[in-house]
Amino acid sequence: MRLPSLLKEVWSNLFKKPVTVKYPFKRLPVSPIYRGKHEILRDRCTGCGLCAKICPAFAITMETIGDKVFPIIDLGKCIFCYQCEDVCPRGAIRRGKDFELASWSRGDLILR
Amino acid sequence: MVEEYPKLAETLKNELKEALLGYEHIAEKKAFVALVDRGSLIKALELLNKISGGEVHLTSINGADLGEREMELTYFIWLLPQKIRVLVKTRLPKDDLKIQSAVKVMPAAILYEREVHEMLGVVFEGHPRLERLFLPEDWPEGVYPLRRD
Amino acid sequence: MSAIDLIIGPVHPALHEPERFVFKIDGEVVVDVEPRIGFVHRGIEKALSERTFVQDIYLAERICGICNVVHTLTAVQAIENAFGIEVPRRARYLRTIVHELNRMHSHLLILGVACELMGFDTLFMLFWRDREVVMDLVEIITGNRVMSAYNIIGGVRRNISDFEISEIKKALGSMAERLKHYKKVFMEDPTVRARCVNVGYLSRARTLALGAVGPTARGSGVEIDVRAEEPYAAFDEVPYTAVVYNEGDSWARLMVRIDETLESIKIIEQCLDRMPSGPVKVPVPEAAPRTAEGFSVTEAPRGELLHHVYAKEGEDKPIRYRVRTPTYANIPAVCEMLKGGYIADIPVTLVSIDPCFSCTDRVALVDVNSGEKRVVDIFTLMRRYRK
Repeated sequence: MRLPSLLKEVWSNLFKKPVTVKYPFKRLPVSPIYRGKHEILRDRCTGCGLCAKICPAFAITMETIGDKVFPIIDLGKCIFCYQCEDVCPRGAIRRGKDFELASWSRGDLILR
Repeated sequence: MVEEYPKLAETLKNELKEALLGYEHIAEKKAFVALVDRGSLIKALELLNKISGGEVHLTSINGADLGEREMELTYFIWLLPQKIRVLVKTRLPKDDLKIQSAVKVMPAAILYEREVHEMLGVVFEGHPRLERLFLPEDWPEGVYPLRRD
Repeated sequence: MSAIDLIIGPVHPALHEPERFVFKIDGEVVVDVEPRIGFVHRGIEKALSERTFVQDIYLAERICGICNVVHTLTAVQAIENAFGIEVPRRARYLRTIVHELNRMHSHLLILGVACELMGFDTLFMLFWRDREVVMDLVEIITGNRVMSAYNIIGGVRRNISDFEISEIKKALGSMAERLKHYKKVFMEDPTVRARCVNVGYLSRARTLALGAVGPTARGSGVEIDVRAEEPYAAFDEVPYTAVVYNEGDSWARLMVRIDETLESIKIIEQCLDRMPSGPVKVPVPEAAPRTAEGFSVTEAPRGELLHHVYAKEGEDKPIRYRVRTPTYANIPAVCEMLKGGYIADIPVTLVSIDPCFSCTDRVALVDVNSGEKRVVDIFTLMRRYRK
């Protein structure tokens, strides 16, 4: 009787460490350029509004605070493409690594 | 291949004569575009079938609403032996959106014609089953989603 | 002959996307097939003509999650074709690398799913373990494992560093060894052969006439592969020969995919070795600089993908955007393949053409109440083909 061809692999896998990572007790590291939650640097923003214009999901709106205009991002609509970061002339939007963004209310998802 | 374009142009000109309203080889797009009169579209497709010896691949049929009073249909065709991409275009006036179906010449046209009919309202005469494909059954008749008016 | 109707779908464990097939069966043999698609119809073509060109790239990416890179690639190539923009060489090589990584991930996915449907769960898990490696590589280059968002009109969004190049080479080397072993399993294992050989046969002439594309066509001896015949991105400088099998059955179609995965590894390694230096993107106007049409044809993992865009001078939105996806072209072929086979062969045949119905149903309107989909009627699509 011919042995099944994968038997060797199955046998060696019995003695290897399992590859499952027990989330949420342990987390896998993400790459340095991972597209997670944004960081808006207000001191660099000029209020040009290009980010709001280019957003494919219409998730960014400009809000007037005092005499300046700043972007606010609705993470519920955001698709995390980071076109806003690409188009900003001053680098006022930066990528972050946080991806655990679930929340109980929609109000928590507005990022300032 | 690029060398075959002049021969193709010659054959089309000889066979279709005045039905061939214009043609050009667009190097930037690596394609040969031919505009034909709508009555001789089937003849043009049969001619392409013959030129390639039956080894012809229909890639797609697109319909577009050009806004004024016309619609344009584009047939994307690939000739296997000569390795040429041919775009056969034809214009239809909006008040008379009828054209002969290409299913007998190229069986692959069966689904594409249904979609163009469903979205733009073009009637393909001779199509075995010109029915809805994507829209649900309770969609109102006579409303064609991709028209601009 | 008493025929019974067997309805499979829209929700069924053997199908990965919703579609509905009504099979007329006589005993165990399938006599006729009537498909009904349109369950994932999202009104994308209309939505594409209401957004600007840059926003369209992201919408095109979401037509299909598995082939997202190739949809963005075809979209930017069609728009560049309409605008008349030349892309720098380094950008073309980078696009090819991510494109081939996407192809590997998609082929490993469908091979795993095919094994699962045959009951061979061990091989399913092993294929998907290797797929994790590919997704991690995509994350290193683009920032996300699945939705890459890497292509932009005029080039790519990020450059690649030497560290990343060495990581890719290391990972691919060990993958090539394992894939060759899996290929041997596929060719010799009796379970796989019993379930795939001579299942869903379609002759070469019929496949060509019905307009099938991709591995579905190449498994039946039709040598059409866009990368070999109408080269795009870096394929004019890194030449590619198509993988063709002549048997015409499901086994041949799955073998085409395994061989293509091995070829992709070679293409990526060649691109990395020959990578030219230079800029990775060029500036692009926001509105169309001329009234023109653009189209772009590429080889998605499932077959030939076509994006056709009409642009008008001065407008920043396309006038008409048409997407023709590969599974749509393969539907007439699969309906013919299913006839004459057993019921137990249905899942294997369906999965061997790699159906992606979210790509197929992407047409038309966003408006009005399309929430209700009452399937009342069963219509014949392929009755003409029963010769």
